[in-house]
Amino acid sequence: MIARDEDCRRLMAAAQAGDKAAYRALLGDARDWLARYYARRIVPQLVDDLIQETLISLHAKRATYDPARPFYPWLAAIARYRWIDALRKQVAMDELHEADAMVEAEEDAVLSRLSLDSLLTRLPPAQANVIVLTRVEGRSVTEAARISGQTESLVKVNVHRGLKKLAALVESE
Amino acid sequence: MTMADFDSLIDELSADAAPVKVATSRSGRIGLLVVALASFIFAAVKGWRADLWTALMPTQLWLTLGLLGLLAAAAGGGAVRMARPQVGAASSGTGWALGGVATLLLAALVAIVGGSHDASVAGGWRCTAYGSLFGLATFLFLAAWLKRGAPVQPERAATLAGIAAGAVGGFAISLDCPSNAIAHVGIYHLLPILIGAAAGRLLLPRLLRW
Repeated sequence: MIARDEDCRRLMAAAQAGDKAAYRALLGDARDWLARYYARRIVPQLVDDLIQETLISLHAKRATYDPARPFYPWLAAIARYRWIDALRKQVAMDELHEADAMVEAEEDAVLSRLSLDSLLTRLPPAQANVIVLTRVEGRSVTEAARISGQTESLVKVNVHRGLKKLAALVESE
Repeated sequence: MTMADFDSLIDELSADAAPVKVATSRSGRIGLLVVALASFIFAAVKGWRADLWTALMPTQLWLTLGLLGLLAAAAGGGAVRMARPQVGAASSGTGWALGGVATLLLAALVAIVGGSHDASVAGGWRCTAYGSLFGLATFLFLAAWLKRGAPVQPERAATLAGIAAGAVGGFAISLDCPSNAIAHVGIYHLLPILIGAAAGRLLLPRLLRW
C-alpha cells in the first residue's frame, strides 16, 4: 500500500530535522512507490538498480524538499530524472552488447505499452515507439527497426531525439 | 538486489539523517534580489545617468527598465525554483517576458532599417561589455544556487540563469548609459541577455548534472 502524501510530508519534515526513525519509514514508503513507478518503464533487470540510485539521490538532495509542498511531485521529478538518465545509459550499453539484447514475448510488449509513462505520449509516435522497443522492452536496434519499419539509423536518431525531448519534459504534468 | 539489500541501504541512509537546512524558493528569491541590488549599486559607483534623479527620464527608458526588470524577475525566479524538483511546476512566464523585451529589439531594428537612428551610437559595445559585467554576480549566484539544489532540467535552468543575469546587467547599464536612442538601447543593452543565455547554456549544464 502506498503512503498518503500528507504522511510523507510529515515524515520528510521530521527527517530534515534529523529524525532517523521517521526517515527510515519514509525511505521504505519511497522504495515501495518507486518499485511501482519503475515497473514496466525500463527493462526489469535494471529496476532495482534504478530504485537504489533514486533513493541515494533522494538522500543527497533531501534539503531541496519544501515541506510546505506536496511530497510525491517532488519524488516523481527525481524519479523521472533518474529514469531518463538510465534510459540514456542503456544507449551506451546497447552499442556494446547489441547482439545480446533481450527480446521479450509479444504479449509482454503489449502490457508494457499499456502502463508507460505519460511523458512518452508527448513524443512523436515514431520516437516513442522505438524508445519503448529498445529501452523499455530491451530489444536490439535491428529488432526495433524490423518491428517499427524504420531503418536502423533512423531508430538510433529517433531514440536520441526522443530522449532529449523527454529530458525537457521532466517537470511537465 | 534482494529486499534485505534494500533494507540495508535504507538503514545506512537513515543512519546518516543529519539535520539539513531546507533551501526554499523564497530564500533563493531574496538572495537573488539582494545580488541584483548589489549589482545596481556597483553600477551606481561607476555613475548613474544624470537625469535619473530629476524624474526627467524619457518614457521609453521607463519602458526598457520595466521590461528588463520583468524579465530578470521571471527568469531569475524560474531558475531559483528549478533548483527544487517538482512535477507540474513547468511555467512559461519567461517566454512572455522575453517576448516583451523582444519588442524593444524590434523597435530598434525598425529604427535602423528606417534610417532614423544610427545603431553604431558611440559606446555601444562598451555598454554591452559593462552590462555583461554587471550581470556577472547574478550569474554566479544562480549557478551556485542551482549547484546546491537538484535541477532536473539542467539545460533549461542554466539558460534561465543566464537570461536573468543578462537582464540584470541590461537593467544596470540602462541606469548608467545616457543614450536614449532606441537603436542603441534595443541592441546594446539587450545583448547581455543573449550573452548570458549562451554562457549559461554552454557553461553550466555540465556543472549542474547530478
